[in-house]
Parts: sequence; structure tokens; C-alpha cells
Amino acid sequence: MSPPLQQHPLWPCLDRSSRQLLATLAEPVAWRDAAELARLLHGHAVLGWLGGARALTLDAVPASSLPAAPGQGWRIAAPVLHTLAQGQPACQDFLAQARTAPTDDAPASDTPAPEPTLRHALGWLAALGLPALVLTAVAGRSDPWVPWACFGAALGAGLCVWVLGLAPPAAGALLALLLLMAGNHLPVEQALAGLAGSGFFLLLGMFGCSTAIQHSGLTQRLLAALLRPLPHTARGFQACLMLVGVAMTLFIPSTLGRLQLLAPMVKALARPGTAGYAALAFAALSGCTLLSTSFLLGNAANFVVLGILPEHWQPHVNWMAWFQCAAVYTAVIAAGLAASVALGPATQGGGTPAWAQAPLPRMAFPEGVTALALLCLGLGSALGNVHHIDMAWLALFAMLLLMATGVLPMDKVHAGVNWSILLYLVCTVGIARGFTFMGIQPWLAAHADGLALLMRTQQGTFLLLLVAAVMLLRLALPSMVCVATLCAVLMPLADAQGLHPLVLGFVIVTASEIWFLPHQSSDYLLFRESVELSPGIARDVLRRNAWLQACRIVALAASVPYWRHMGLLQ
Amino acid sequence: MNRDAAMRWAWAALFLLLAAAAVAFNMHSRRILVVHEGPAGSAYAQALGRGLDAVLRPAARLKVRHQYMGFAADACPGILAQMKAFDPGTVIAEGPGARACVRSATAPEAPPVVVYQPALPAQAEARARYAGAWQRLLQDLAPAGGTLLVLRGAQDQAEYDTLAKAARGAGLRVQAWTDDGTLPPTLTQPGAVALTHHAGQGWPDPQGAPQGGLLRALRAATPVPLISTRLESLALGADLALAQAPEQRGEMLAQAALAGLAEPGLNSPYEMAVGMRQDFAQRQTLPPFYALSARMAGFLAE
Repeated sequence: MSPPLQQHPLWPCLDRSSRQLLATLAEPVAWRDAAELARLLHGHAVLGWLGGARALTLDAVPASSLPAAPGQGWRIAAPVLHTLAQGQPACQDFLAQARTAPTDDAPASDTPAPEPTLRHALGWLAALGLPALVLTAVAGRSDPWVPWACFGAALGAGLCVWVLGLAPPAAGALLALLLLMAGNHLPVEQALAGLAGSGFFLLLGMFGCSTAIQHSGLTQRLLAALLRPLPHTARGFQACLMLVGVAMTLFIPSTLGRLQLLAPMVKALARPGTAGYAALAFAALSGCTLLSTSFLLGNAANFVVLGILPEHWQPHVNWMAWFQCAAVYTAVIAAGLAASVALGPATQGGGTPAWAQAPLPRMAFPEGVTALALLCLGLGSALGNVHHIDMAWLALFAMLLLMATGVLPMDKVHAGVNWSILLYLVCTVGIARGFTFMGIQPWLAAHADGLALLMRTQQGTFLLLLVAAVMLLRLALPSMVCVATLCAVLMPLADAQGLHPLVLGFVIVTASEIWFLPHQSSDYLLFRESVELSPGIARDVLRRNAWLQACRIVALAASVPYWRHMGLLQ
Repeated sequence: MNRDAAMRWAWAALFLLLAAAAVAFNMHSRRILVVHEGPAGSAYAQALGRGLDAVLRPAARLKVRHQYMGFAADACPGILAQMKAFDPGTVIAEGPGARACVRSATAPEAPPVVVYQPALPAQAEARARYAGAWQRLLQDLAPAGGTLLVLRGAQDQAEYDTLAKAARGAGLRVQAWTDDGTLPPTLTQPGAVALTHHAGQGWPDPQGAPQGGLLRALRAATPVPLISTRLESLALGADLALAQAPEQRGEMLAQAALAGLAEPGLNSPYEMAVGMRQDFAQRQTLPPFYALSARMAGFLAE
């Protein structure tokens, strides 16, 4: 018997989301000879095993190089695999190597890491050499600027890793935090404040719950239940997909995870290449992404904001407080989504699938318990102001319920929890505390008094300028880095200047989610490949997306008077 | 339903029962909201927090949250919204601005107990200690026979009377000026200028801080020491401040909150804390224990 996909040498080169997508999209295959393998390879890449032990990676390999031995493995569309590899140098290097040597004699678990490229070598040299240089230069000195220099060097090292893509963002954040702790520039209790806050446990619990949702079949049941009463028209299908996307946003913190669940449904409801297919794909994409910052649990970046909030604000911010802050934004976006369905193309892309017409099967035990856990979580979140139990403990309780009843076995917890994001959260909270510890607020107040004055006296204008600044930064920086850096720098000052830190965080995280160009959204890129959008349809989706992204800016602007009315702005 | 499934549903039911019990238990826990008039992170807020924590942290089944107004009256609607959501049984209002904000809340069905302590102690013994500390300070600060100009807020009559008594005890003449948004004409003559709690409220300040505008105007007009009855004034430009020790104040407020009393009682000697600006400490010839005490309490401001 061949080893599982998880032991293939490509697997460790991918990040967590890409692995999940690969596992979902890859199709198991087997072949007896080179001719059969060549047929399987048409437009696809094959990952697998020869003779049950030798790893095999076939991507754009000439037919003459194909092995004659039988084997088995998984087939995935080549463009999808290339998209998954985007931004993951280790994976790209591995695939490049595989094109010249498709078979690997070493067992998967012993596969050496890909050889570093020159860019990597130089990047790591900068990331590690910069702090080493600074620490050597300031050793033994006690000037007032020395702590700032060390702090800057640690951050610089992390930024090198982030910006040059040397490793996942969590590794960059961890490097910066380790340098701060090892050099005694930040007390350990401040550096590890992310572990003491409830944000970490909330995100952990939600990853557990969302893993159960993804495996329970609850989403498919929801879609089928929605399709039943609604008219089976193109707009009806679009509305259904959009509603399912929004419903998942309430509980699944990973946008990619939501899109991954909806992609097969898009394919099932319309024929690829038709205008109806484009409309359905757009409905799924916008339903899954546009309200991700409306709900606290809808986006991992929301937890970064929650973790970086000043300590005395954190207990006040729960699911309901977040939603209250986002209420007007949500209403405007919901209106935009409804308008996009009502005014969009109404061409039918295919018939009603059989599974949507068949009677709903009896709810299985995993579905039932998952629904029960979500009900507890939903009720607990909505009634937070009545029972005053922190939402993190509710989420952990729901996860425990799922684990104790066998719905969420431990191996699924290991595979389903995005440990990289959790690590990133802990590290960014620690770095943000570092900014406060170093006295960024008095420094900014003293050296950027114009900014402080703007924050205090013209908060609406400041927020709109902030939206513009974040959108500009996002042309070059990933969303998470943008959110973490801006929140860490601006939140202490905002708190001191009477600008509600939650509003500031919400504006930053929402503005960082605005995208117009494909490269700004890795979620879109992967979704585009997984639903196999043709270039023409992709252009159509992008054009319609631009309108809804503009709607996000309008929604943020419309929220300013509401925030003022609620007392969140002065 | 087979036996295995029934067992697993029984597990789920047990979990729900546990959840219901936890909710019922938690709904009856006590909640205390502390509304600070000043900003978070100030030396005063941290010292007060230490006092509150010393009493409240060991108490079981208690949820404590803090809100900071940052001296901005327009922060009040946000504070009230948080108060409504938290629904505390007790609110500790630290400072008159915080009390005014809490009192402006529309009356809920079960209004919370509001614990408040004025800057000037109500108890005779405590007030005597307060006056004694001020007298000692004025003796050390200004030569006998000099003048103390007291800039007072309209509602600070009792505080002014105490200060005036202390100043006379120290051999100083007292000149009073009720703050009306202008400086008194005889500003260059006094040996020191003292500000009471509400002085300076009519002075515009871009940061919205109380006394900030007045202290800047005074600093530009006179070189004499500017002293205040509130420790937060140090960050705004006062040279020296003398007030109740915030740790003790925090403990008293917390004890009153636990006991359900609106006004704290005093069961230990009234403690005063002194705060100074570093440059003032260097150029003055005050006895060294002032600077030492300010440094130890964390009120030696840069």
C-alpha cells in the first residue's frame, strides 16, 4: 500500500491552507505503465509513489522521461498546483527540481529540504546579519537610543523574512519576538501576552469548530435546504451561494476554507465557461469574502486586531461589540450584495443538480452535534452581555463537545488547526506590546503631533485618510503584515487621543481586505484556479468585484456618522 | 437509533447540562466597572490600579473592568454604552468627571451602586492630615511672609478653605482668584501658585486635558512654583502636586465597592503622595525626602 499524500515530499513545502486545498482538489489515480501515466498527465500534474515507496512528482515532464513502472497517487490540474505554489519558494523550488528529476529515491520522510536559492541566502543573511551587526555595535553602550536600535533591528529581521518571503509570516514574527526576548529588550510577560489573552484560545476553538463544520457535511445540507424553498433560477442559485458564504463567515475564520467548501457547489450548479457560471462564481466569492470583517469570527486578521487592542479594552470587545461596530458597514455591504444579485446577469448556467432536488437525508450524528455546537456558540455569542462568559471559553467548550462526542478526532484537530496563524497571532501581540513597552505613544505624540491632533480633533477625516493609506500599503504588503504593523503603531496613540481602538482596528482590517488587483488576494487566485475560471470570465468577475470593493470604501465612510452617534468617535 | 449513537447523544446532553450550569453560575457573579476620569497608562492610573487590584483580585466570583475617559467629556457616551453592555452592580467613579458621566446614564431598572470619593477627605481626621501635609509642604516651599496665590474652581470652596488654612499656618498670605478663564493681574508677586481640583476647566487645551491650558499660560507668565492638588497635573505642566496616595485611594474605593457602600470609609491613617517634575526637583532646595518620596511612588515626572 502506498503512503498517504501527507507523506509526499511536496507536502511539507506547502503552507497549511494550500495543503488543505491540495488534499481536497487532488484526485486519486493509479497507472500500470508509461502510456497510461501520459494520458493521466494531460493538463495535470501527478504526485504519487512508484512501487509503493519511491516518491514521484510529475509536472510538465516530457513523455520520454516517464517511468515505466506502475504506481498510484493523485492527479491535480497543473495551473491549480502552480497557483498553490505561488508565494511559496520552497514549493516552487521543489517543482522546478521535479521537472528535471521526477522520481525521488529517498523515502518521503527523509527527503532533504530544497536547496536554498541565492535570493534566499541573501535574504537570510540580511535577516540574521542585521540584528547581529546592531547588537555587536551597541554592546556595552547605554545611550538612550540603544533600546530603540535593538528593537528596530529585531523588527527589521522579521520584516526581512516577511517581505522577502523567506519563510511563512509566522517565522518572521517569531524571529523578531525571539530576538526581543533573548536580548532582554522586552519582559517575557509582555512578549508572551498573546498566550495570556483570550484571542489565542478563541481562534484555537474556532479552528476546531470550523474543522468539524468542513467535515460534517453541514454546509452542503444548508445549501440544499436553501435551494428547496427558493426559485431554481440563476438569481436564486446566486442568492443561495451568497447566503451560504455569509453563513459560513459567522463561524469559519478562514476565507480560503469557506471558498474551498463552495467551489464544488459552484461547479455542480453551472457549466464552466458560461455567463451563469461566472455569476455563480462571483456570488460565492463575494459571499465568502465581503463580510469577513463584519463578524469577529470571520477572519483570522480580526483576532490579530483583538489581540493588539489595549489591555483594558479587550474584555469589552466580544462578538456583539464587534458586530455593533460593523453594523452600518454590514448593512451597506449586504445591500451591495443584494443589488449585485438583483442587477447582475440572470443567465442560467446549468440545471438544478440532482442532490438539491432529492429529499434531504436524515441528519447524521456528526452533523447533529456540529449543529448543536454551533447553536451553543451562536447563542453564547449573542447573549454575551447576559451571561458575561468570555467567548474564548465558549469556543473551547464547543470544540470540547465536538471532541468528546467523537465528531472531531484528535488527528483532525492536528490537521485542521492553522498552527501557523496561531503562532503568528501570539508573536504579533508580543511585538505590539513591545511597541507600547518602548513608549511608541509618547514618542509619536511628541514627534508626530499633527497626527495626534488629527486623531483627536478630526477623527472621521483621519479614518478616511487611513483607509487610503492602507490601500496604498496593500499594493506591496500582505494583509496580515499591514494589519499587525499599523495596529501595533497606531492603537496606543489612538487610545490616548480618544479614538476608539476597536474602530481603528476595524477600519485597518477592513481596508486591508479591499483588493482590486488579482495579486492582492491570494484567496481569489486560488478560488479562480479551483473553479477553473477562463480569462474572459475572470475579467468579468474582477470588473464586478471592483464595484463591490468600492462599496466597501463607501460603507466605511458611511459608518463614520454612526460611530459618532454611538459614542465610539468623539 | 442504535445504542452507540444514543450514548453519544447522552454525552452531548451532559455537556449541555454543564453549559447551562456554568451560565447560571456566571450570571450571578458580581461585576464592578471602574470608570477613570484620566487616561490609561498614566502613573496615577497605574498606582490607583495597584490599590484596586490589591483588594479586588483575591475576591472570588468577581469581574472587574476598567474604562478610561482620558479627561474628555465627549468620551462619556462610549463609556455609558460599555456600562450598559457590562451591566455592573457597582461602578467606581474615579474623579468628578467620571461621576458626572456615570450619573448622566438613563436610569436602568436596577441602577448600580456608584462609589465615589471626593479629592478632599470627608473625615475630620483625614482632613486634618491632608491640611497638615499641605502646611508642611508650603512651609518648606515658600518663605514665611510670602504670598500663596490660589487659583480655584467655582465648586472648590472646601478645598480652598483647607488650603488657605494650611497656608496661613505656614505663615503665608493667601490671595484667591476664582478661575474665570483669565489670569489674575498680580501674578508676578506670589511665592507660589496653587491650583485646586477644578481650576483651569475653562481654558482651552488641544489635548482636552484639565488644567493643561491654564498651566501653560501660568508657565509663560510667571517663574514661581506651580503646585496642584491633583497628581495628574504633573503630566500637564505643574511643578509639584500633593494629594492622597492613589494606592490607598484605590484600596478604599475597592473596599467600599465590595461592601456595597457609596462612599469609602477610612480604617487606616490617611496617606499623602507627593509628585514632582524632575527639573523642578533639581532647581529647588526642598528637603530631599520630597524627591525621594516622589521617585519611590513613581511620580517623579520628566
